[in-house]
Amino acid sequence: MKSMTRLCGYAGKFLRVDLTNERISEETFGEAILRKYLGGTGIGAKILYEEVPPEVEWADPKNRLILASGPLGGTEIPGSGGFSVVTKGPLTNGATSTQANGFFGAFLKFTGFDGIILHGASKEWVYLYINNEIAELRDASNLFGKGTYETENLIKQEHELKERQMSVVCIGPAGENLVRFSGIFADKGHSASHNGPGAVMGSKKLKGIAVTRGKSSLNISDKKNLKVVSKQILEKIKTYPTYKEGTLYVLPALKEKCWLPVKNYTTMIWPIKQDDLDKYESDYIRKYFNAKRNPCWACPQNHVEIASITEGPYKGLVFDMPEYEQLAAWSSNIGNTDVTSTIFLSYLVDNLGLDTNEAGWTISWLMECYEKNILTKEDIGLEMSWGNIEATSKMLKMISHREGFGNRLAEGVKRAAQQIGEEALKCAIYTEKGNTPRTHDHRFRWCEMFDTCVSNTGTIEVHLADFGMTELSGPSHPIEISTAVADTKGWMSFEDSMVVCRFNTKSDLTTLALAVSAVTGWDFTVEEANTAGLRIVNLLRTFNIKHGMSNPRSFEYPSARYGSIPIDGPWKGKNIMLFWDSMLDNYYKKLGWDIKTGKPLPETLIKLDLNNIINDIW
Amino acid sequence: MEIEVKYFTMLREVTGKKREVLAFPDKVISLEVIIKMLEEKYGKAFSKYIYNREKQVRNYLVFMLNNTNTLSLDRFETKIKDGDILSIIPPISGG
Repeated sequence: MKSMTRLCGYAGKFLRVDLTNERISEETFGEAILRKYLGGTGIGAKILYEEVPPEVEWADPKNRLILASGPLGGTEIPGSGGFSVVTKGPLTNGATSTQANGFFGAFLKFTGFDGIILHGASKEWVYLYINNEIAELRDASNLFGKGTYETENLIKQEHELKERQMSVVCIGPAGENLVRFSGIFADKGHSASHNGPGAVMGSKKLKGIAVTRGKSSLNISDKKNLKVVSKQILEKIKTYPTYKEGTLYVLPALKEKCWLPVKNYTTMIWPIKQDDLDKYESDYIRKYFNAKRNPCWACPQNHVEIASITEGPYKGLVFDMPEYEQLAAWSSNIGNTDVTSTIFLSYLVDNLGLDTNEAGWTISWLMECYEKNILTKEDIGLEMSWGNIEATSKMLKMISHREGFGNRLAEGVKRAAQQIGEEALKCAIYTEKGNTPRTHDHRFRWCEMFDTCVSNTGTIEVHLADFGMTELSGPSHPIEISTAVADTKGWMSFEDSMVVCRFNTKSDLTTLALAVSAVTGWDFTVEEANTAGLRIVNLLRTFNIKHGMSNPRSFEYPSARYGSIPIDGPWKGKNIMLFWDSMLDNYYKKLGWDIKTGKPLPETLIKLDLNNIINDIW
Repeated sequence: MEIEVKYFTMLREVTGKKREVLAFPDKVISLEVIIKMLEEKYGKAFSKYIYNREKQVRNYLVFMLNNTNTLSLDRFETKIKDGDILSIIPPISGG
């Protein structure tokens, strides 16, 4: 192990775990590297780029799985306890960056590590145990087949530790069985699941990582200034809609805006009775399901809650309160108007270790195929009619265990639809890169549909609503939308390199740059933050180009259904595809990318101090 | 005429209700007038929620009339008539 002077803001070491040879070592990064790539997504992108060559596929033991905190991790900045996951993912077969909140990142830093680099594959199922700078691989045979909630409980029981004495990240049966849309779950119900990192973890036969709450203190350069910045963030948080209700307010509000995904985009109008809709209101859900505050690290918001069901068929269930995307996936999108079964399916998906977005689109697509007789009960083995909760529940388990027709669906919407045929493909919602969008109807939100399709990482990379920008009407402002996506492109990548919760910091570079300066002692500017974000975006894009997307432009389109023309609702008849190519032209131009292919131009890479990767793609 | 107004998040605290029916003697009324009327009814807390320091309506708020964004109609000049449903919606974060 190399010795080093510990930089402010950093624990100072990364843990490297070679699962094939059961070898664990530590390594460090110098200040210049850390300032350039920061942490979380940034440092993960650097490691991925340098250590994973194009011939390495996602399930290859040589693929890397990097989990990292950032310089703000574990500080008093609200919601700074999460972690970012970077790997080569199974849906796009390209770069992945996905984050989960909770405590894991903070506890990891208190234990003396900024992140973990995993490679190789174990012969037997193991979990990684980290306790005060000691790391070891432990037998996980008793955990095999267990859900994410049970796995966490069993590991804590083994170590006789309570909830906040240890943080566990793990996979469920879906990750074990290499379902392409399986996630990594942390602290019961927090998921990093875009682009299937759970399957990468499963391919390494790593069931989980458990880190005790370490005793190392963080080295902060200017505690007084950090307190000032944190206070500013706290004051702003009190004005956010999520402060008192989390995302529970979103579903009824989106119903009003016709932004909810309804029955796989076959309509924009959700026919639900007012009495049933009232049960999706936060006050009803909280009261009926006995919600109790269960916030993430240093978070003042009434967002994350533990809840339970005390009557009916799901009696006894204790679960993390679902977020908007889960509520939408398991209600309007599958033709269900019963809140209790919506919540049950949300829990089930978390416990099985599936990504709720891709899982929701898979089931809604299957239901449409069933309705249209493209697939029959004989094909599927179940009656997949709209709103059939029992069949949905069974199918989610079949997917997670790759049983029967579930094995086909475990490949994700795009691949499953391609296998079935042309009519099935017409109904499927996905991007040409291979992933599905978040659980919204983006035919109203052109900004988000565009960003989803041009994303490098299998999820959105820009969120204009969170940036406090005016909602741009799609048909009136298509070019302005692509400009806004380009102008803010680096913001979220920078924030994900800090690994702080977007609900708290809202990608506000000014505040975040002040926080970085206070923590590290660097004179860190907004410009430097934006440049770092764009560097990460360009690095991941170049990774994808090297790994098969040699002409990114050809992949940056929605599927026919995803980019379809709404047949009803406020955007009836509006067609984003009329503008798509001009939006791409403008977007590439703004970012300094080749208009014909979407590849970063050499001069762009030079500006971002990425000279060393130019020859990889030009 | 009567219209229904729906509130979300903090506006529910300000108004003490999720939705309400408002009655007017006029047959048609503009969105701007309705906002002013609600301001008079609910006072400073309502104004603070709706307006920024420059007394402009906060750009992140969305006013939906019968499921259509008034931005794509006539914004604050949009005419509201009997039976219409107006929803005042805060910025939306998924997650």
